[in-house]
Amino acid sequence: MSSSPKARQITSGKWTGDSARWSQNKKLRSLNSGFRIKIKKLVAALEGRQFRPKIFYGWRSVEVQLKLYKKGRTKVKFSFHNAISNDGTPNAYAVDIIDSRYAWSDVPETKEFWKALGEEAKKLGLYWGGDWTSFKDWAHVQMHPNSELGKVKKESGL
Amino acid sequence: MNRFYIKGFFPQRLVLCLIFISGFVVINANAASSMPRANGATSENAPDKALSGEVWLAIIATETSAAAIAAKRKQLLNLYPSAKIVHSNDCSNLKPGLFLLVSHISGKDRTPEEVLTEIRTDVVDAYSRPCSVVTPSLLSLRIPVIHASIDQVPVDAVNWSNEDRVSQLLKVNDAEYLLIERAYDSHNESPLEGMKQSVYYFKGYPKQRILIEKNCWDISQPDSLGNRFSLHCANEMAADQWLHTSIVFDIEAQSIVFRESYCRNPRLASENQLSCEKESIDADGRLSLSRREILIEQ
Repeated sequence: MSSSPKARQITSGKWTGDSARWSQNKKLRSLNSGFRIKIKKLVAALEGRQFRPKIFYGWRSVEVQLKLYKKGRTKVKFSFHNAISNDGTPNAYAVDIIDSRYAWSDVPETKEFWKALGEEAKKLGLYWGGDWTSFKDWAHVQMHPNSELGKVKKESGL
Repeated sequence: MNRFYIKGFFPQRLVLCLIFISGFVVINANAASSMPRANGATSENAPDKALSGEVWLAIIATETSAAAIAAKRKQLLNLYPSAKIVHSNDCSNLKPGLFLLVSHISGKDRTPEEVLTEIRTDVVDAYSRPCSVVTPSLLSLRIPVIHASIDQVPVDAVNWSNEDRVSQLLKVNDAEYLLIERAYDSHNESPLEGMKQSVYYFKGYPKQRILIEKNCWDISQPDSLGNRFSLHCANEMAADQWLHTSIVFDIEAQSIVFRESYCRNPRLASENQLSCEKESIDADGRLSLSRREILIEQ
């Protein structure tokens, strides 16, 4: 993987470091352009409902994903977070969004935020990880159904 | 931790020892005639009984990968709809790390030669092998090592590994087990692409098994005390972490008697006292754990 042209470009460019620590603006820029428009709308809608949405993850590299997989912290080897565009830059089709006040804490307000996140995401035609049946990823929103994972991986040249 | 695994059934032991891919190893008639005759206890006509001792297997395909043997089963499904996949680790005398597609196991009514003669009209290179059944094992308990639904995993799936296709046995104690059944369910929506990992409890022979959890990821080893055991299953993700639910199962009641969300590594201090590590994830995605003592109400 690291020897492919795309991987080289990602690791040598400005898209390095822990992508969970990037600024909100940089996380937004790491998204696919069409998806980014929808996520901006989603964030605005949540703010309109008096939440404080924060993008925790936009794009993250396949290398990071595989490290998590090897540590047993996920069963997913490729996700929509990992997509790359033709020019080798991040092109994520997924975000994780939390309310900065509650994050993932076990309080009623967190559940209210997840519910709002799911409602607003679906209004925009997006797919919400709270609807999954094999496990829940409440903060996760993605552009495409999971059946398109293989297609996006291929398009990413991965 | 390893003590709970059934001996010889680590996925890591799937060593590369390919016998064939499209062709089969042909066993000559002399070898076949030396196969043991089946006895009543191991007959395919007694499916409610555990297999033990030495049996023989009529083998119609062999592969080193779970995906490849599932594909082979799918290919031969019309000819052998009841063929089962057996892991060679479950036979102490066989080369480990192989998946065997088996059309017959020790029919008492027929000799291996008779069975092979019949099979070879369709699969010319079918062969038979004696098998000293490891007890307990998925084979001894007549549980397919690769669930039939696995044959339907989409060929373009990106998140399935070999291990995700292979069922597994965990020991609770000398007579009780957990079956981790790995299957495919197209309705099980997530990036796991239909992956399903269910956990069942059973005692002795799995004629009746009890579903503990339909989707149980990152399962822990069961911690057994008296009539109860505890374990955890992950069923949520937060940032880069699994979040777990700790479960207490009562063997006499044959049911789950307690659940604690966001708690991992459960330990039973007594049948009514559980300790587990409470999980919390902050806004930076950092995991904190704090062990708690919880009283299980009667």
